[in-house]
Amino acid sequence: MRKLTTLWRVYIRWMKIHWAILLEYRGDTFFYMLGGFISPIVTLAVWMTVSGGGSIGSYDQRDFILYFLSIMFVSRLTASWDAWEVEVHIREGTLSGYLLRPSSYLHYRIAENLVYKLFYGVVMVVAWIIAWPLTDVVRISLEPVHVLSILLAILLACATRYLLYYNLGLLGFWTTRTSAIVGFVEALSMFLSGRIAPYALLPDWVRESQSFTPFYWNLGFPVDIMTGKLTGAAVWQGLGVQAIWLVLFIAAYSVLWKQGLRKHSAVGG
Amino acid sequence: MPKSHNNGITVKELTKNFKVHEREAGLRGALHSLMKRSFRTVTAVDSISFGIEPGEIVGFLGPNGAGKTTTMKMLSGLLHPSGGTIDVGGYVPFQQKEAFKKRITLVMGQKSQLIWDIPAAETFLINQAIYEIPDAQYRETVGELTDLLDLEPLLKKPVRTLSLGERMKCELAASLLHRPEIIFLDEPTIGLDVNMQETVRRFIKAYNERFNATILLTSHYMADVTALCKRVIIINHGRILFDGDLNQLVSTHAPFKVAKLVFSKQVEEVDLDRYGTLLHYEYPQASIQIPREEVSQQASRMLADLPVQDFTIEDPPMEDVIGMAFAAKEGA
Ligand SMILES: Nc1ncnc2c1ncn2[C@@H]1O[C@H](COP(=O)(O)OP(=O)(O)OP(=O)(O)O)[C@@H](O)[C@H]1O
Ligand SMILES: [Mg+2]
Repeated sequence: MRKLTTLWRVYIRWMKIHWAILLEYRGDTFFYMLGGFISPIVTLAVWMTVSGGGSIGSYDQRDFILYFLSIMFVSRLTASWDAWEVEVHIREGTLSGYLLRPSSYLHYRIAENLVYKLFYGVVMVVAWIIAWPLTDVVRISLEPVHVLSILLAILLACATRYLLYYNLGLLGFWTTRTSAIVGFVEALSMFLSGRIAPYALLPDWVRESQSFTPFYWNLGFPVDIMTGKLTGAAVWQGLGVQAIWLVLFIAAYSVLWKQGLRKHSAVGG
Repeated sequence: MPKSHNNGITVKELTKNFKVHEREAGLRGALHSLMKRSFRTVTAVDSISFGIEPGEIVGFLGPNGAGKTTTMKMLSGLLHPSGGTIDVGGYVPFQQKEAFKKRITLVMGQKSQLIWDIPAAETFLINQAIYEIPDAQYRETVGELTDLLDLEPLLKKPVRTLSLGERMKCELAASLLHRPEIIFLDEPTIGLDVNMQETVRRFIKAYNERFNATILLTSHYMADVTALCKRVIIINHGRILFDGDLNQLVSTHAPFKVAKLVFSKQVEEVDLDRYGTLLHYEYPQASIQIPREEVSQQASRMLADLPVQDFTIEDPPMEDVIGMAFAAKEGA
């Protein structure tokens, strides 16, 4: 119980600090957010042109718009830049300051992530609410079970994607080439997450790979629930697959962290 | 482990090897290292053993690259030792137990735990939460530290706007809020002006007396060592060369002092050689090395005989003493 109270206080403190830093760099934050929206908008524009006002497969105009709006929403909410942060902290020796204190470095990182997620989340939900009466494109089903499954899927996607990048950052214990590895993963994810096109429109072999990589589950899956393309049992099965990926990434985290600390050379000083 | 456990440190045959990836400079080197990575093992700490009693302040000295920081990182649990055992206050540091972390601190003059973009006061608050410091104790400690280190005007400014010395003071305060009983100070006075060094020294002394804290301190400044440490451990190339009383070290390895003179009139070099070994003479300044037991006699002779405008007697620089201890060891 005391431990939980302490953890709560630590999170509140870190979040206040990260909020102060976010405000300090609000210009950067704004452009970063804006930048995140460009790729889905461009991709959407391409698809609108290609479909020429008609449909492709099961996607008509409204489907495409809703799909890429949801991609924007989910990808911003699940975004994580921890691979770079963690790698820099390891390489520059800043990690030492966190290792010396009796609170996991992970809490510090998660707290930062939460601040940005809350910030982006509020901004985007408000934007969505404003758009609601203006256009029927954004009017997704508000049935409680549907909303609940969206929330669950996004939550699981956040956690898994977060740990994926965090774990990539931990590779910094072994190599100084982390950013190349991250670049490769990003390129794969671009294609396999559903960011470029809905899964339903991708070639068969891509669709067949979906269970074997985490990428679809981190983005395409929550989006497919939001847009109503996935319903019934498929939703619950998908949530199960997400949970399995999450458990795998947690296990990978504990191995990497434990082994990494033995390798850690705490540079500097 | 009960909190009343002693605050001593025991180190046995502690070793740390680093594997370094060697790459030659230039394009050829880069290509070559792509094909075949060659590694070299650097032994930064080579089977050292020592003990420190609770409440002791020990100076940990040695030239650049001797292995001081590496040892401190192992003692504070940051680095996994390649060999040997460490007991710090009853804990094995690398296990990184929370109870262990609450009892120690490591202050590195060149690395900061302060958060760059916001005032140091925020780092204090996060440390209060992390170390579970009760409000009353927190207020008391911050008050004390603020007085002792004169932090008042600094705490509200973003850390990045502080000067090096100001940041060091905040760093010390942030590292001591939880009142650690075992403290590793790695060059705590680096880059500070003489006044500030003095302040920090007095502060370390006061902290040690008040909490009976065990302190291991590295510094390249002789004044830090003479002011704080009765005992010193000297390390070079990862091996301990000397472990014992500071006075004994200085009297065996540096049985002399250095007189520094400033003259008001030109003096012949031969005239200076009579008082001791002339180390350096360039009008108007000269430094002369004098055996310890002759210092007062020679000093009064010089003052009587020579046109002296200014006169000081100093201990030889720590580097020289260490160098001589090292040379003696090599010769033996
Ligand atoms: N992470 C590392 N990887 C490889 N070699 C290292 C690493 N850290 C230290 N070394 C090497 O180990 C040796 C000891 O370094 P250390 O930092 O302990 O010296 P030091 O006594 O603290 O020196 P200084 O007085 O300059 O601070 C040096 O030769 C250094 O190059
Ligand atoms: Mg050092």
